[in-house]
Amino acid sequence: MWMTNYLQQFLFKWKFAVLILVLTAAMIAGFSCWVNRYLPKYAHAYCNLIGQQLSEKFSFGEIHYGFPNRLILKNVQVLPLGKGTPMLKISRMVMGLSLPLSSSGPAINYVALNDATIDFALLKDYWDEHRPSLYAWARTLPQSNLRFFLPDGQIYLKSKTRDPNHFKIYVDLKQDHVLAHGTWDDKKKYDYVLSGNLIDHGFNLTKLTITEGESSINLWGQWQNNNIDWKGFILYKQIYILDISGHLNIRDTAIVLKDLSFSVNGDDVDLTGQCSKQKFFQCTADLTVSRQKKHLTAQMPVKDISFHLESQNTPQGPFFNGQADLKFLFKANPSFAIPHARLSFKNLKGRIINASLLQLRMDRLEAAWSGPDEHQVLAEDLLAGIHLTGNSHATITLSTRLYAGHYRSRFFLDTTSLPWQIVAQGQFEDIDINRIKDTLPFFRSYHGLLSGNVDLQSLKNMKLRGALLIRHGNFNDPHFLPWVARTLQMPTLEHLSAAEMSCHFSMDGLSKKIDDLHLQTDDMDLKGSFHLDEEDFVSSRLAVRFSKALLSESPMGRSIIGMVQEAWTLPFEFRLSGNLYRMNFQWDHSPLKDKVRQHMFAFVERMIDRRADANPYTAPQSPAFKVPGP
Amino acid sequence: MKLYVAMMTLLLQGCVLIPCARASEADVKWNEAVQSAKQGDNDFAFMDFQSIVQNYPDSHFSMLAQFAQGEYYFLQNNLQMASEVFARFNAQYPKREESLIALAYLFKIAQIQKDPQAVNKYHAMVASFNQLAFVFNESKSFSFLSGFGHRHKLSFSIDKVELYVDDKLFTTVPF
Repeated sequence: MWMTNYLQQFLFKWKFAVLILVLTAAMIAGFSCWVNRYLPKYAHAYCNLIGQQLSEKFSFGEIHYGFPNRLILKNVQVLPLGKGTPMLKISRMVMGLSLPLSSSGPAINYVALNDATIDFALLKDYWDEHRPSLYAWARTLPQSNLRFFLPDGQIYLKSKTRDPNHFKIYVDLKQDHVLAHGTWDDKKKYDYVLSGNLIDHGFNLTKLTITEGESSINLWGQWQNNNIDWKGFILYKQIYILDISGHLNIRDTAIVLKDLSFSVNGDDVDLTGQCSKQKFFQCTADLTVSRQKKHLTAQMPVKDISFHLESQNTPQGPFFNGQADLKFLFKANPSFAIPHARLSFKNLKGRIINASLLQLRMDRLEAAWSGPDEHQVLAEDLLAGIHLTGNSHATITLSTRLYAGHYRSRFFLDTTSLPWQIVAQGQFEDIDINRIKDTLPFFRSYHGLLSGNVDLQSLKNMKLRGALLIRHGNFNDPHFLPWVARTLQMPTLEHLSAAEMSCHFSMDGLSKKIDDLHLQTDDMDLKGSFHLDEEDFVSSRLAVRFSKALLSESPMGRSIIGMVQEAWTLPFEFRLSGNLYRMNFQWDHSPLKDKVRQHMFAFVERMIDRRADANPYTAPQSPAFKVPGP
Repeated sequence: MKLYVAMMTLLLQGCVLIPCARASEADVKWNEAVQSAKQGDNDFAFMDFQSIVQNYPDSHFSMLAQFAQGEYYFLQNNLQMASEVFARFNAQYPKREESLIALAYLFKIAQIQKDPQAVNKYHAMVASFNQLAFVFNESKSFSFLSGFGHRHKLSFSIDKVELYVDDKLFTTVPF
């Protein structure tokens, strides 16, 4: 009995519970159906309203209500007005609303997006155009804690023909505290974490860390009112950028970088500058680099660098003017005796052709350096292309007008490790020698046009090759002529005018070579080679034919004319060697020498040799020179 | 008065005769040293050469004895000391042709010690030592007999200097 009563009572309770459950489900289903019936209409109207406020078209394929507080939208698209391409596409968007719903509108608890695609160029244009109205609209939204998830976003940064970058975002906004983390895939995978607090009129960044492998960027600081202060450090491969300290001030008309200081592997860097807020790219900046003494090497003896940059925004685009001052510690490289150099450029314009190609154009590039003398190189109408061919490699092509001629070159840069490796090949054509005499004193004796090649392999191994062609040139004291003049006692040779000269020349490091030399005047015809090694040791073979008049000028020449019929038709062949400033001389075997020897006694030959030694220009240092015996 | 004249005469004779006596002592010492070297007593010869350098620095044997000291150290394979003595010799007699032989020794020592800086330095010094003109002859030479009896011969040509010791090529300095 008791059992029956209990079962009846229990069954009744169950029936009651099921009934309540069914009724509740029916109510929820009914409520959901009612909401789902009117929701699209309401949502479309709301989207249109937002679209009008924000100058965009917000559309979706489907919208569903999920009990109790979820809205699920599918195939969402956001298009800027007047554009046919969406700047944002989302396959599925779930929004969680806070309960109870407030009168001011639904506060959103969380937003989860799936398969979102962003067209960055369109989004950026839209943002630039409608930033104020977007801020105003955001302020009308009810404040609440918010979580945002985007686990599989993709963004087209440049063009839809290229693969998109993939990214993940997780944001947790709890009262004033913001925590965001995620990843960014751009061939390499970057992880980021950001945390901070919203404060009065600003943001306190407690941590921003971006890591990729063993490299990382770590920053922290504060943005309050118009001032941004930040500190941090960056570790990238073997580059340590430490003690970062920056202070930025945002004014009505300009953004001012009051000071940004940091050290790069111990070398101190300071940067100041400002940019106009009205005119984008209207900036000035000053950069100074002070390198540690222990970092100065023979390849890189730059001690201090000061760099000043100005940019101007014009209808043709931004232009840059700049000047760099470099101070060298030439004790690091004794052969590099340049204490100071200056590089300035005018009207530099850059153009990004694509992600891996940058084109630079400038009206004028001037390099000046001071050594024992002041030197200056001026290039005009310079065009350069910087082509990134990998993470650590670049090809730079250069073309410019140079001293009435033209210079073209190609540099290959490898930044895999320090010091950077440079390989360069260049050609110059029709350079006016008159205009480079001050820069290259070697050419002071010459007039004419210069053409040739320049090969550079790293900074320590510079090679220069070329051909020199001079017409109606004047020669004052080129290295070998005074020697010949004084040894053969032909003063006329110390200065040549109206000479024709051609040769191939090359410089490899400190060694220099002149080959296929042909120097011709009315009185002289000289052929041969002249090599100078890195220690200024000469190796030269020359054959010179003198006119009868010139040969008659020399006592030795007159003797030869007396001995050999038409001696002026035969070349005088000789060799030079040894120290550039104390060259040894040898009259080589030749038809002329053989003919002269036929007319000579041995004692006369010895006498002439002694006279040659006694010539003040060839006198040996030791007066005790004796042949032979102690 | 006569006494004064006699004293002055004796004094003057002393001034003149004492150096002569000392010079002859250096001569005797030199002969002793050379004799020791000939008999193979190089150590005794070295002591005599050292004695000449210390006691008769103004004697014309002093230069030869100094060179012999350097030669002794080189033969003993004491390259460090040989280098010091030849460098000192070169500094003291920069214009003597024997100095060029000392420089050739220094060049050879630097090569043995594999010291590229010293090789470059002595190469430059040898190459700049003389300025030579070969109009008809293609070589010139200079010979020198050292205290230890070794015949040194420098052979100059347009692009090199060769040092022969006892007719064997000792070193070549190209330029």
